[in-house]
Amino acid sequence: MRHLNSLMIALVAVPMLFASLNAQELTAPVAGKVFVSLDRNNDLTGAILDLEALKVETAFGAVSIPMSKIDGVKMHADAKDNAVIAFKNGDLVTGKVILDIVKLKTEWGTAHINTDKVETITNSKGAKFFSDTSTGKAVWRFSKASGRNTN
Amino acid sequence: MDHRIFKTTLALRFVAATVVLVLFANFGFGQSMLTANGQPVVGTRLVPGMFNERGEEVVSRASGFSAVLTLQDDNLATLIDTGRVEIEIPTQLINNVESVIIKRPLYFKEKRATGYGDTALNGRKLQVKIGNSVIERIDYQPVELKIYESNFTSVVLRYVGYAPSIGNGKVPGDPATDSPLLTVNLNSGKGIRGRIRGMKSLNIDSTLGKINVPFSRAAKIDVRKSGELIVEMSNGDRISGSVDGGEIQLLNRWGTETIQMSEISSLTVEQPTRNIHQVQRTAPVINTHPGLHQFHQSQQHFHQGQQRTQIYQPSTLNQGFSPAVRYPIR
Repeated sequence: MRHLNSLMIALVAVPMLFASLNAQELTAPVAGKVFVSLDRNNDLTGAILDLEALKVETAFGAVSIPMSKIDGVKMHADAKDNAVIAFKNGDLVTGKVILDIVKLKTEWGTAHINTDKVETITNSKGAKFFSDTSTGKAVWRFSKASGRNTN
Repeated sequence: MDHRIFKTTLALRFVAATVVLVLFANFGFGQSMLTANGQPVVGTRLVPGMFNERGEEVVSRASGFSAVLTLQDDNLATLIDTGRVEIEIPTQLINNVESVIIKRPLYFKEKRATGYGDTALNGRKLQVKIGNSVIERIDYQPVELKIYESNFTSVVLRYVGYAPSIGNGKVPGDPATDSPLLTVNLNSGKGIRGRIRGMKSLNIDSTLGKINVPFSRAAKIDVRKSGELIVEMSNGDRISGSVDGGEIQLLNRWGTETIQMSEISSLTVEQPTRNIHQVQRTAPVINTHPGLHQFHQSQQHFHQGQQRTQIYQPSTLNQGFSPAVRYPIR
């Protein structure tokens, strides 16, 4: 009878354990669907995993920016390999992103992308970074959608 | 004859519209108020020890008038375009006008600054030479030009397009401890240049947290009505946030002014002229040949010119105009 109880407990517990492991792998994305542009003109769409905040070394010091506040990231924005981070409120900040791998949950599986290969990450398909020279000096600007909402 | 009457009538109308001559009794060295269009404008004080070019103490004069000239936008445009605006002095006051106050309809500070006045008598017309310095100044506060001549029938403002001797053109302050030169634009539309006393940077509560933004790295700071600041850095970064503290002290060529942050619409920082060579990556260009994708990188060399706000560009130089009277800034 004691062996039977142990067997029953095992039958219930083991599937629950596996289910838990599986759920951990499929952690809900923090930033929702993003569009990742890679070098060699490759693009990926998916949800960023295991990244609640982006650590960035800025001119004002090291900061941790919640992904929920970010609209886009342009890597390799200047000769010093800094990135430009576009905030949802229109702010733009230059700094060095402290991140080796971007884990992206795609339709075909989880991609582990070396950040060196990433050109841009944006929240919407039409969003883009562009060079603005209207002030006589080339600076990066961010457009949330093509032809409008230029920050 | 009719033409002369018409001209005189027109001149009188102009005077009535723009000039208020106020007689203030000079009880010793007391303080009096001037009015323009029925509203009190400025306080004035006659300071003992002021002498004219003949060494006579001018405060001993029994009475005096100030000619207050309000330069509306169209008057100012005329002055800039034609280089000349003339105001008539009523006959009965010809011997009593001691100063000319030039002001804009709206000005930020309710006090006037007395500066050097380059004047000359041309027959019975008193010519007052004003340049960009005065124009810039009346955009901020009225200017009083002391006159120690008499018996003139009109005052002619002559725009000469360059800064004469007023204020020596120097902005006080120490670049080591004060902010870089910047232009403070006010909500009223006026602006003034100077350095913020004892402030090299701004402490901003921003989306990045509490950060310290050096003025030297900022290009422009916009102040929204809500009090929120939008800081545009010289590298193109934009950071929004709020600051503690409600006022700044601006060291300008005419002294120190305390300005409330709520009165400011923007601050434009003047960066020293220098060349910057920056390598910058641009967006990838896709090669049209199938299978060949290349990234296009370009190096952009550009020159960062001096950023400054100048209200009016110098247009003419009047080298032949020699100052007849000069008095120090009060």
